[in-house]
Formats: sequence, C-alpha cells, structure tokens
Amino acid sequence: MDYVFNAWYVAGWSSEFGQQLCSREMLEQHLVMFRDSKGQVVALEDRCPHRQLPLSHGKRIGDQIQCGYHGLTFDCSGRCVRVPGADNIPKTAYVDDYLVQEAHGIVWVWMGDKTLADTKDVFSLPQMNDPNWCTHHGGALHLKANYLNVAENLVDPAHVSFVHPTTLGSEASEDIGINTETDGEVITVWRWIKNASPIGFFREVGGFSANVDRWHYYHLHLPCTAVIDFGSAVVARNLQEHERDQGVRVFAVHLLTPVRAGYTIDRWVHIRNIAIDDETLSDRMDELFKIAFAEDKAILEAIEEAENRPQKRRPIRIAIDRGPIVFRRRIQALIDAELNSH
Amino acid sequence: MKLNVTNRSGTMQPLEFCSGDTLMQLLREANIDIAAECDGNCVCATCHVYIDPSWLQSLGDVGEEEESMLDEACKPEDNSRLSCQLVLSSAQDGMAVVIAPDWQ
Repeated sequence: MDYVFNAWYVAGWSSEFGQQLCSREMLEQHLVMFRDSKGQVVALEDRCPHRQLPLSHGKRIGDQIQCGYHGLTFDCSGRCVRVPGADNIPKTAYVDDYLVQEAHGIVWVWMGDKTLADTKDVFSLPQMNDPNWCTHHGGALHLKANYLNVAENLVDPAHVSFVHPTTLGSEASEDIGINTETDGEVITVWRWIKNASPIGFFREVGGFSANVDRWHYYHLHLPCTAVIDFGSAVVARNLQEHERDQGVRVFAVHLLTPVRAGYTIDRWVHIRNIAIDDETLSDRMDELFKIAFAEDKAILEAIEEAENRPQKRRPIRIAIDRGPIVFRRRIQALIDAELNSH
Repeated sequence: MKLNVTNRSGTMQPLEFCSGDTLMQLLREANIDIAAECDGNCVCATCHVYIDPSWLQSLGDVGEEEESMLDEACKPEDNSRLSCQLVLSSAQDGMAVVIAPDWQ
C-alpha cells in the first residue's frame, strides 16, 4: 500500500499516552510511545537494532527504554546510551525518532522527512478554540478497510441517502447534484437540500419537525482528514451559505490513521453550536454517529473483501463520483511526488 | 451541418448536428455505442473518441479535468478527446470522429 508520509497522523487521544510503553502501528511502521517525565509524548521506532525485539516489550527506566532482551538502552532521541557487556556504543546502535505534537487532546506524529515538518500543519479548526462551540471527542472506529476507500467515503455525500437513512440522510437527497471544488490541499464536495423533511439526526439534535433547508459540505484535507460540515435551518429563514452559523451547525471531524493495507482507524470528533453545555446532548450525538459509522464500517469492510476477489469488469464511474475521483488523483500525485523526491 | 462518425465496427455514418450540441449527447441520441457512464461529468472517460487531427485545433484546448481523465481512458492517443466535453459549432462542420475502443 502506498501512503503520503510527509504529514501529521493521529497516534491516539492524549489520554492513551502515560508512563507505560505502548505500541502503535501507522503507515505500516511500528512505534513505541510513552509520556516522558516532562509530560512530552515520545515516539521511537519499535524495534531494537540488535535482535529486533520491539522495544515496547522492554521497560522504561526514567526517560529511557531498556530492551527486554539484552538490555540495550535508548534515550528519547533514539540514541543508544548503554550496551551491556561492552564499553563502546557503536554509532549504528540507534532507533529512529519521530516528531510528536499534541493539540486539542490529540497526539499527532509526523511520519515522513523531519526537515519538512511544520507544526502549523497539525490539523485544527477555529471552532475548536471558540467558546461558542462545543468540541467533543467521539470515538475511534476501527475498520478492516484500506484508507483510500475510507477517505473516499468522506468526500462522497451521495452515499448518505442510501447508507444512513435513519440518521444522516433521507430519500429527499437521492437525486440532488453535487458540487466539487479543490483549493490547495483541500477538496470540498457539497450540496444543499432545500425544503425537505429534516433528517433523523437533526430531528433529535436540532428539534426540527417541519421542513428545513439543510447542507452538507465535505472538506477533505489531504491526505487523510475530513471535516463534514452539516446543518439545518427552518425554510422560512432562507439561510444563505455564509450564514450557516445561524442554523444548527455540526462539524464531524474524521482523523484517519492508515494502519496498514486493509486496516484504518477513524478517530472522530464532533463540534456544535447549540446547547454547548449539555453533556447529555454530546452523548446522544455520539450514539447517533455510532449508528451511522457502523453502517459505513459494514459497507467499507464488505467492499474491501469484494475488491480483493477477482473482478470480472472494470468498476464503472457515475456522475456523483467526482469527489472520490479528484481525491484519488490528488493523493496519488502526492505519493508520486514523494517517491520521485527520493 | 454534419460530422462523419466511424463506430467500433468500422462503419462510417454522417451525423447531423446543430451549433451548441454536445458530441456525447449527439452520439447517444444516434444510438452509437458509447457507455458515457458518468453522464457528461468528466469522471469516467467512457465517451472517448479520436478526432481527425486536422480538426483538433478547431475544438480548442483540452481542459485540466478532461486531460486527467484522458490519462485513464482506454488506449488514449494524441488526438483523443472526451466527447462529453465537446460542444459543437460550425467550425466542426465536416469533422471526422472515430469512436475509441472500450474495455469490454
């Protein structure tokens, strides 16, 4: 599987990283991680350069990791500081270290060329720092599906009518066209569904019962972060695109971590502009999203299996495929550019 | 005004058109066998045609989206175009078009 390496990827929620060594797999690379005595999360290559035992099988000694096999010991930069039974430490005794950033309760790791890393590129939305919005960590969806298919699902508003009929979609949107735009590293796919009955999600979250105008904007930040901006407003408001904050507006943020071919973790966060102090609403939104995301998981895992069986014909492409096709073209261009720069 | 269209079995037929017609739509209405899966949205490359090179210039430049899709077409050539992107005018009166092969 090919990946874009020069990007920040989520290793987990901040709460997952403590004093204990833990292992993570991201982009087919294995990392050992822990929080050091200064509170910084450390990420190192999870493989002793000697006999290849993952260092996560070893133990922490202060801010160092001692290999569980022969006691080689490494500091937070991956440098070996002790080789038991020898006076000298060969310069080949090291493991790679990774850059780590922590923001909004999320731990990010830079998986590529460290000279290209910029902490400004760690994903954030202005609403995450805005007291008028409530940001809530939802959960982590583990999918036995490749990350391209998972990301494609997040630039594809058209599936919502058919996959999520009780929560995020309805029949009213089945035949409504989709707009696509690319701006730098962000692909946006959107549509408005005017004067239609409210979807299940907003019957509960917004208390709508009469017809609404609703919107769906899917912003895919290459390579693997999706922001789904969706909301509703009563028809009489005649809400315009730039007035979405005046409706009931929700951002569902999907932070994808490609683990390996056929395995992806989607950590999701939601952000809303109503009842921001209501914890029970956060919990109810989690439940509704979990219904919808389980529906995506079932579909994506079945597709993964089907795609791995011999295909008789080339898959066809239909009118609503523009978002996914632009996404695949753009991510392939990023992958090719990295391969060519080596 | 008319075009000369050669289908996949090699038969040539004249096809009347009006200014403003889209070639893909015209081929479809004439029951010429093209899949045109995406219905003119420039995402499938199954309305792929070869244009007589001497007429290529009259059609103007290939757009960015079309160019990307042509890379994925079946057997693309220098004179390949996607017929869904071609709006016809009097400048194409007499143009020769060959339907490109498909995967199936």
